[in-house]
Amino acid sequence: VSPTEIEMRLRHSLKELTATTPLANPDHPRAGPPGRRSRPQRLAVGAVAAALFIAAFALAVAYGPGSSDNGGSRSAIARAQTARHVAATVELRSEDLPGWPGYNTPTPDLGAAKKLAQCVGIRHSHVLPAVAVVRSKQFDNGVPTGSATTYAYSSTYVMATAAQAEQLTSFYRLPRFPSCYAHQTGAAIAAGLESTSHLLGVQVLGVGPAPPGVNTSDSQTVSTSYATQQQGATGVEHSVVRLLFMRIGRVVTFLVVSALLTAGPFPVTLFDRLAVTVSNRLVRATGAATASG
Amino acid sequence: MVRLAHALTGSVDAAEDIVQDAFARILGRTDGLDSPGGYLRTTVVNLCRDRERRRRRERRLRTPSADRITLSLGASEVVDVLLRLPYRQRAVLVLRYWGDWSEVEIAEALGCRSGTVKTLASRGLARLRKDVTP
Repeated sequence: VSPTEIEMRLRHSLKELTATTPLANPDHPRAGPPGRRSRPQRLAVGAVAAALFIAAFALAVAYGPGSSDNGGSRSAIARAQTARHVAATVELRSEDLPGWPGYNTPTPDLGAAKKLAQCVGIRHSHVLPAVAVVRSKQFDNGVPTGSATTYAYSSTYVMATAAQAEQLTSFYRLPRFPSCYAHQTGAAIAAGLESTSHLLGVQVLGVGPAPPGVNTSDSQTVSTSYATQQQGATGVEHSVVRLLFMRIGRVVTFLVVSALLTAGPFPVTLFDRLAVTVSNRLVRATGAATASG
Repeated sequence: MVRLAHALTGSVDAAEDIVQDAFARILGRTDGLDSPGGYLRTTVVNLCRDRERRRRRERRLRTPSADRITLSLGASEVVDVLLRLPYRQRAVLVLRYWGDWSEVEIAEALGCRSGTVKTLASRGLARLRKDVTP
């Protein structure tokens, strides 16, 4: 074979070989495996799957064990367990409440009681169901039901019980939810202060006996105890705001991490190459199996 | 690019993988390149060489053949002999007689001198003349 001839044959052979190379053509896409979804369908499926994943993760953050920063687990089981435990420990009987059946109400000073109710105000702090049932009987749309005296007397005991329940709940949740413990303790302090303010107010105004160390002639006692109560409530509100910011920070962190995982340049390149390679192998394997079959 | 890789490797599947890898490597780096096309061709040639080395290292080198491709009798014989050549001789012949590359371009892609390209082409053609029946 002459050099010119071998060069000609080489050129011809290479052209014939490369002319048979199957090339990708958008007008004539290669057939994939049967049942393969189109690209828009796969994108839609991926978007739905991503949305479901993010929704499930968000629900887990909001209501799972990690949601302790905002009052502990909100699952029905966890709430029922806590309510049963507290209800079994904190006994709230109607005969303990002045003004309720079974209690021998002393002769009240109606004017002083009314003044006390106006002084203390009406708080709607979060209390447990057992306490809320009793306390709700004191109000109707925020207005004390019955006489102001009944409210002033019974509210002291109700709030004391609420403080006890909040305190107990906080200890109950302490091992699992430390931040919830702080929140519940703050609520307990506020309830206790409110109870104390009622008690002091009643005693200062001459409804009941004065506790040791309290100057019943000092008219500032009522306002002082009321101010202390407000400080406790403010502390609780600050605590809630702090926990709210912690929750927002957690959600923002989750969103940033999710964005990096789904839209970052490195993972996209890596996963895209991996997905394309695996897809090509599957297509070839399917084609080879079909051809051999 | 797929045709070039097909001619260098004799395998359509390998050619598609190699070109895909080449595009993936050049992706995002085209701004800093004077000639992205040339860079891509050189990358394909080098990836074909890497595949050849890998196959040899894995001791699974067998006589390569054009898979699933039906060629005429004469072309099939030439291609079979071509695929049995050492990679650098094969690459020089393919780039010169199919791609019409200049010796300088081939030397740059293979990382050798122009004189080496001439030598490789001469040896490759001599081997073809020897093994291909008239």
